[in-house]
Amino acid sequence: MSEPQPLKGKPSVSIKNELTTHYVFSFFLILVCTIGLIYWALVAAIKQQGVKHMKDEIMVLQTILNSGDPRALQRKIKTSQEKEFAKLYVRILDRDNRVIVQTPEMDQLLPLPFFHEPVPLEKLNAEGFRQYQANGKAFLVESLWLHVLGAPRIVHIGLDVSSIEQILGVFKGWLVLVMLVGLLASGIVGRYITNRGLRPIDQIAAKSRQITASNLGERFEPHNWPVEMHELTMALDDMLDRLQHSFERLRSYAANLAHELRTPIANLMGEAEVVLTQRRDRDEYERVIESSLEEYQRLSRTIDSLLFLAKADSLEVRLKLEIVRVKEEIHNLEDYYEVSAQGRAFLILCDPDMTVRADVTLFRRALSNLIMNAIKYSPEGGMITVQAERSEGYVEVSVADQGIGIAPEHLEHLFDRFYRVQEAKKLDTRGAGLGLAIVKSIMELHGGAVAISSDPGRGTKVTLTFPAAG
Amino acid sequence: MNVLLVEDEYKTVDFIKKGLHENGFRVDVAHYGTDALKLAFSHEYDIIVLDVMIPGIDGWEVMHRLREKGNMTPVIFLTALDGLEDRLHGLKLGADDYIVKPFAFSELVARIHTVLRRGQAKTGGELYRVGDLELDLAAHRVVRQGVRIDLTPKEYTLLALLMRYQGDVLTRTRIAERIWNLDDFHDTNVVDVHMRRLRAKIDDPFEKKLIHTVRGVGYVLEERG
Repeated sequence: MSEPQPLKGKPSVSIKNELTTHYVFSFFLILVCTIGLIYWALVAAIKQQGVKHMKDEIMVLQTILNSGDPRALQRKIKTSQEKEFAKLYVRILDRDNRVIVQTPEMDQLLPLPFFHEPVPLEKLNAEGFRQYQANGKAFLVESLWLHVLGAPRIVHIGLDVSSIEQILGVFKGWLVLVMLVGLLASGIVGRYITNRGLRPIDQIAAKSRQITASNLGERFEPHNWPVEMHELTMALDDMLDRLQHSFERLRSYAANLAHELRTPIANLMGEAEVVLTQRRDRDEYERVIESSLEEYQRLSRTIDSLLFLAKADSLEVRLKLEIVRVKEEIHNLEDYYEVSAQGRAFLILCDPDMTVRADVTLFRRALSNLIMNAIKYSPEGGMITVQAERSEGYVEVSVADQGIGIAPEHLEHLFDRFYRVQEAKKLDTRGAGLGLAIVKSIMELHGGAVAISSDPGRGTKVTLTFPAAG
Repeated sequence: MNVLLVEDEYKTVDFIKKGLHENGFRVDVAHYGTDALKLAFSHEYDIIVLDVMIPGIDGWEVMHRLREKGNMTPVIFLTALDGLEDRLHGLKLGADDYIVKPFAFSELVARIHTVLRRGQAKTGGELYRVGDLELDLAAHRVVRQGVRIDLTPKEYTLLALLMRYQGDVLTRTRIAERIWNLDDFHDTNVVDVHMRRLRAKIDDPFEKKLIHTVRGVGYVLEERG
């Protein structure tokens, strides 16, 4: 057994690659959506947390400011500034925007223009605060009117949320990594699943590769395979059925062919050998030579028939189509065969103007074959009906006898080469069983058809269907 | 009558040479195309029987060179190729006939006679005569020993064929072909029945037989001894 050869020509589509690509793509889409959603929810939650923190700080600040304890305020401003995370920056201004007090470094980090017009505490934006990016840091900022010891003051508050952004940044990195790993994993898993899913195809290929002419009886048997493979395995089994059938026919054809060629040769060799073993009189020699002439003619006829069939198969026969006058042809054949019909009567039913477009030599061969058979298999005194009828674009020429008929099981094989019914062999030992095969070939060459029907004990009818002339 | 036989298969040469010799021909044999051309140009032949598939220059080429140099000796091709194209090719080159192997020897003789006759002026006009048998084509009448014999149209055609080729053996196939247009794919044994009927009218009532069976081959009409 040979390894499958690499296929030539245009690169073919790979189902496996395609499926894997689809897998990876779908998985990637799902991953991106999921991770995007998670990230978005996380950002929202953390931001919410920042806002809450900011609000808390504002509340604390307001309490401190209301208490009027300057030391508490100082402490708040200072300690807040010393924190590592979530540093709070506070600046208190009088109504003329003059700084009263502020967290150190706030000047550089959050200068005055960063802040919008102050809003009263009641109108504090509950949804969120403005965010500023500055000097690589992120701040939530708010500007408020607050009463400090009864005096209205503008308070600028800035909350350093850089750490949150940092966390989100790290988190983002991880998510991208997860996505990449997921992508890779989905590729591998997708490939694996595809391979697994398509394994039956590989198995079918492997099994197909093992089937040769010698084990054509092997079958895939659909029930052994996954449901999806039923259609394919059934089709393959059907194909094997047909192949096996053809092979068997070919084998029996070869056997029959050998038989048909060997029999006359055996006769020739045998007769010649026997006659030469001793001196004979002249008559004896002449009889042998005459007999061999018959065998030669038989061989020659068989070869001619086989050659014709082979040429017809390969469509090498060139038809010389012409308008054939059917009735004239029937009468000519009747005229020829009548003398050998020995009491069998011909009944010809044909319109004198009936024509078909056909190769006249082949038309004669086909019809002559049917008439020969009808004579051969008819009882004496039987009627042979040759009829030609026209029907919708076709001309049907039929030959019917009142002979022994043919059992139904033989009918479909009658047009096979060398097929002969046992009873027929007894009646006619000279034919090779190629006559009807030739008729069939002739009809196929003409784009027509041949059909046979038989009523055992009552007769047989063979019908040639020609496309009508013109 | 001189025949040049160009054929390389020695058994074929043997039987054709022998057969033609017995039919009154003098036969020269060439195995190769070059020999054939040499002989054809140095001798006078009445007919050349030329096999297509010979070693060296083939039959087509021999034919071509003959005609090219103005040698118009009639040629009959012998070949195992029976394709219509081959046949047409042969005839186009100017061959007079084309016989496919295997063939009945009598067929070859008959064809040689036909080709040779073609060159001559038509003889005898419309009246054939063999011994005491006469067939008058114009009057459509058959007479033997002065007695008119009634024949069916087919019997008449059959007799006319035999008389026209009197002395030549006609094979069953040739008869079926000439009269009913039926080739070898038909049952040519039926010809025997037709011959039997004709003989019943032509020969049976008379002592001297004119139609003779050539066993295994066919029939010949001639006056013997």
